Amino acid sequence: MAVTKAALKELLILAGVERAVVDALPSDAPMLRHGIDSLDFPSFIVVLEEHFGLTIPEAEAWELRTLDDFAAYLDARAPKA
Amino acid sequence: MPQNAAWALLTPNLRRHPHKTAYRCGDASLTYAGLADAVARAGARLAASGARPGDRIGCVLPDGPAAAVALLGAMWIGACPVPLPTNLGPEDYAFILEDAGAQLLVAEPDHPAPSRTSARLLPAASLTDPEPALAGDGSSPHVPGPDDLALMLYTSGSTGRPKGVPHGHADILRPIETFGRVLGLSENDVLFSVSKMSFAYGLIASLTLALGYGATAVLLSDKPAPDAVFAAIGRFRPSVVFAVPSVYGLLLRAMEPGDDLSGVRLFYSAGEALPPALFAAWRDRTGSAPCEGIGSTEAYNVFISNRPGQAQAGTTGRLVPGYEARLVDEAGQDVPDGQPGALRIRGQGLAVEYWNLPDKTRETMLPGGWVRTGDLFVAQGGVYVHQGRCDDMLKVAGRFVSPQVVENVLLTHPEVAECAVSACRVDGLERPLAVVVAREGAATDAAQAAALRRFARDRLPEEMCPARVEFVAALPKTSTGKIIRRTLRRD
Repeated sequence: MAVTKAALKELLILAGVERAVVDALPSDAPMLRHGIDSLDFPSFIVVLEEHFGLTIPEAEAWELRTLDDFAAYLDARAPKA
Repeated sequence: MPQNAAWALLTPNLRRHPHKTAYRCGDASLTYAGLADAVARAGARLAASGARPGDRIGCVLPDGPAAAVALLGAMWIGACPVPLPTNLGPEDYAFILEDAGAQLLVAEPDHPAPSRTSARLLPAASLTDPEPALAGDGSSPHVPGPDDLALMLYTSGSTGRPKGVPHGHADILRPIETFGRVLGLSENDVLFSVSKMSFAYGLIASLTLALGYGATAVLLSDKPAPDAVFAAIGRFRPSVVFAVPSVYGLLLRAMEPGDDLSGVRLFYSAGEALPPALFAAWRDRTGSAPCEGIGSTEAYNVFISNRPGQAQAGTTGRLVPGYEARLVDEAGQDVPDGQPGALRIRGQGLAVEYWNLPDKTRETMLPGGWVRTGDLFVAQGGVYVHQGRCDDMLKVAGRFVSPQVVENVLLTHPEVAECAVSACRVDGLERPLAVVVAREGAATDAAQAAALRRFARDRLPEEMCPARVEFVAALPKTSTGKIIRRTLRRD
């Protein structure tokens, strides 16, 4: 099952991002340029790792910048989304 | 007798290039002649407001020419400026200004800093008022005695009580001939420190090195969000950028095709350990490997550093000339190469005490001029590799975080019975981890973890907010009931 952007947006809210910011977030642009801040991003990574039961290796983590990046990464790797 | 640091930083530039730009910040800029004039004016104004040599003066100003003028103006008349971040809580300002014994506070008139202090507010704009009632001649600086203070920075302590770190005039100039040489700085450089001037790292770059080399410094008054940092780099084309690893991580994740970093010859990284994967990702994206080093507020300098063009991933580098280092075991005996040891450093310019903290001073500033840094290192062939801290302190985004302070806040949450704060890693960078024993019947799911993170976020500075919250049935404790935070680390 594909990881939907809607599911990722719910995880952003769980990470502490305000819904209005999440609703306005484009999927193909760096999240850090669209209202996600330096405190939200690490929380999002932690929430994501816990939710999908995986650890994103550091070498790959820095390539994950947009919602599309995360969706594609998780589609390829998440054992059971 | 030492030179007055403000005089030493300004005067050579007045002779060499008075019309050169010293500071750029948004649409504002200030030449060296303009800076020197403003500094003498600010000094006279501070003196007219009652400041005397040796007096501590709080400075709560965003990075910008006015902050440099206030700090140098205070030094000029022999007073001791105490630069503080603009985002502390009212209790922190009250504590620090009281501890420092500051009678005067330079801040924007609407800033909340003065609300709970007895220090008298001097609005920043009044320092450079063109027609102040000048008391005395502002054109000649105070000549400091050997023990006179030029600056006091505050750094977080393990109990949450900030420690004042006083430095003399010679200390302020020390990075020019040491760290600056390592970086190969010249007057042709344009320096941009994303780290603020209220921290040693930012002040060394934007005040000491920028003026000491007769270079130009770019200042950013806003919070260093990626948009603002890229805009400043694009507009002012700095040649050297100083930032902490967390900021390099943010910039890397936020970078878009139009962001032009091509004018930067050196990206410097300090304040926390730079993860090798971030080093590699930054190098691959920008074509320029970040150059890492470590310094401290106590040193008012960087004492171990990679050399530009020869930076090795995962290493902090070699000693900066002018410093000696020892790595010792718990008994204080030197450890052999390849074995981890606690770093002690020695060299000119180190603080000789903490302000009003004789016990902490004795614990840290040792006989013979050695200073404990609290960092664990392994050395191999003169190259140092950071291994973490000797104590429970965390280093997050370049700032010390005391677990106790975070725990004290989380313990005020009605559903938290016990908690301990330690460190976890997110993308290789250290972040606070909160391990919580919930009260009976309270939820322990992802939503509750999110609620506790929000609770902390509403009450603590950003770097102290837990990135991860875990629930456990019981915390690890010693036989006397003391929580063992070390075992909770997730490295």
